[in-house]
Amino acid sequence: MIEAPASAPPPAQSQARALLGLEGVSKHFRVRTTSNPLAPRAVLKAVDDVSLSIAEAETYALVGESGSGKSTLGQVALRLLEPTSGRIVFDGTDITHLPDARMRRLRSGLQVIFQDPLGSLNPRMRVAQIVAEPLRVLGGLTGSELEARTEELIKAVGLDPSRAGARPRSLSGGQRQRVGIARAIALNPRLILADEATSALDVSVQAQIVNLLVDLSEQLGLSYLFIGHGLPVVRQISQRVGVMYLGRIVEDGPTDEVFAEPRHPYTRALIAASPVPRPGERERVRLAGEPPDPLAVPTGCRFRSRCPLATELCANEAPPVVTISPGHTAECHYVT
Amino acid sequence: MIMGEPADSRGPLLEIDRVSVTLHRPGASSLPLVRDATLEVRAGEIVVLVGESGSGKSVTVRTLMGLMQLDGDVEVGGSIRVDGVELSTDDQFGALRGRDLAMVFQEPMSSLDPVFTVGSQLTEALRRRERLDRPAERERLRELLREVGISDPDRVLRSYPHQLSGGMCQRVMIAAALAARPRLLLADEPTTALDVTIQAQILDLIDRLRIEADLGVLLVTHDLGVAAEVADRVVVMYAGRVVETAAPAMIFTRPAHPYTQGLLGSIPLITGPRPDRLPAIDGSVPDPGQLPSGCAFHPRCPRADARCAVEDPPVVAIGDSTTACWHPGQPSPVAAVRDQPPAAEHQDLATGGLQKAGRP
Repeated sequence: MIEAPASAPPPAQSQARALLGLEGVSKHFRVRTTSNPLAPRAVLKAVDDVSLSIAEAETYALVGESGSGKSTLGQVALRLLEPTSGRIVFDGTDITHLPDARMRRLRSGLQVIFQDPLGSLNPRMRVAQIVAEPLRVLGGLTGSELEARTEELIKAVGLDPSRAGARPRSLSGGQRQRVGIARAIALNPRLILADEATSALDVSVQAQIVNLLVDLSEQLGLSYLFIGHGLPVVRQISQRVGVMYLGRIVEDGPTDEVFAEPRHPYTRALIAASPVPRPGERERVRLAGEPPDPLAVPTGCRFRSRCPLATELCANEAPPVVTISPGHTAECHYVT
Repeated sequence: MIMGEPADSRGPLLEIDRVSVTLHRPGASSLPLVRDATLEVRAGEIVVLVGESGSGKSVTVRTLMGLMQLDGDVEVGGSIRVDGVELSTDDQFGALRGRDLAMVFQEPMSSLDPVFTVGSQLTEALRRRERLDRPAERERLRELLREVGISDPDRVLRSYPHQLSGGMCQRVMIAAALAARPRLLLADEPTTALDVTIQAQILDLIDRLRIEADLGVLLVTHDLGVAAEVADRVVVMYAGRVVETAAPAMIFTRPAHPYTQGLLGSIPLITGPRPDRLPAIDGSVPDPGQLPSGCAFHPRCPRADARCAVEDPPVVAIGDSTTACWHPGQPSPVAAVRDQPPAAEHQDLATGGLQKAGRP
């Protein structure tokens, strides 16, 4: 279906030292399913036994439909949410149960860029104040040192320094996202969680921000955990990709390999459904139905209710994790 | 509805002729939201209106529904004709709205009324066209829901919107729009809030209805991929103007307007070679209150010259396409950029290389 990628992919870095490792991480929520406050609560497994690893200077992307658990997983990875079980290792330190005081010291190395730049910037602060705040509060910078570093950051994200006195309201969407990025890189983080960081932007501006994120990663040795629902942007920005379905990563591998030869039927369906600006070039494969209720995950393989390949085996047994090539796995009874 | 005739022998179902929409603000300058937009939609045809935020694409379809005109501060100029009949007063729109003209909005959840069941909302839409007795009405509702791919219509009819998923609500919205057997469907970003797998289902559904009911469809989107998927014709808007109109085979391979070319170039693809950097368009979409002089695209345009900064280019027809540009149709930078080998050098922070990221 797809020719081999012509541009050489960045080397898959699964063998390199992991900056962030998740081992068997789960996040369960207890939710009320009836209006009766005394009724027992159901368990929603938003993230269900997920392992992944992000190397230094690597961008790992999570894709999946809404409700697949990708945002929850991102928040658990940075311990913005406490995992129900499993282990999180950041830069050699097990941070799963690290006390708050010690976690706070690591926080500067773990930053976030949000989807909605307007909602994540204080409307009453000016650009320079927003960028300077982490430097002042956590970096301990003052006076001319603070000013110089603030200006350096504003320039680093491609903002015109003359806009340093502006408030978020008067900036365009792309400029606001640049401010959010400047704030995120202020304390020289090692890993940035970018949760749908380009989804709210105009098409022509989205490309600018994707380029900026790639440049920063190369120049600063940054890693990203990039959460996206748009496959084209994910393919452009990431070296590795994890495809999530109902709380589990069902396929995980080097981005170029996964896009060129998707092995899980869900990955194939996602790629087939993603519209491309080339009329008539796409194969018309359609996934029927909608993702099931996360409170009623199908037995056996969770994808079987929408899978064109599903058999009785899929209803009875959870699929094995099949290794396709080093660093590329898929969770399916019928990996093709 | 006229069926069975070849589409060509009929006039356009919808004609928008040099329509302008201006918002007057007390104590401030007026905002030109749409400037001289011209387009047409024929029965059995999907016309896709593409643009970024502020391009005027949503304002255009709301004007077609007569919704912009309800605001006293909005002035609409030009001509809107349905079947050759001029629409100008709210009464004329009112007679057609919800019957011959139906609309589907972006936010299915907030477009349905949360306090009424799907059944009662669909019944209301159905009665815009005809009164049936109760059992016949019920049967028609079931039929409508099955038509939009809902397999258990009875459950959905009893449901309130919050009990349904986004994709399901959008199917219900489409069913409501179809209930009065419209001839023209206006769809404003109908799949933007949905996941790609559900989006594909909804686009298939709209395409099927176009064929079966001979619907004319004007679909608004910011996603060129969606346009390539379903369009019979593509209309590109920028800063309130229609800058290019062409068949998809043309616009996606040989776009004439530098904005269309830039837009196509800046979209990452899911197949083929992957460039190191995306060829982005510099700058951002202008605010309607601060439109650049001359051609509104000239500050971002690689081909702009002195004339572009002064004179707004007229719409020129070339064959079946139209373009508003002083320098249209030069070799597409899309192909050129895609084929070039990835850049080898990477500057580092110390040398100020970060500034290569481009202007905001």
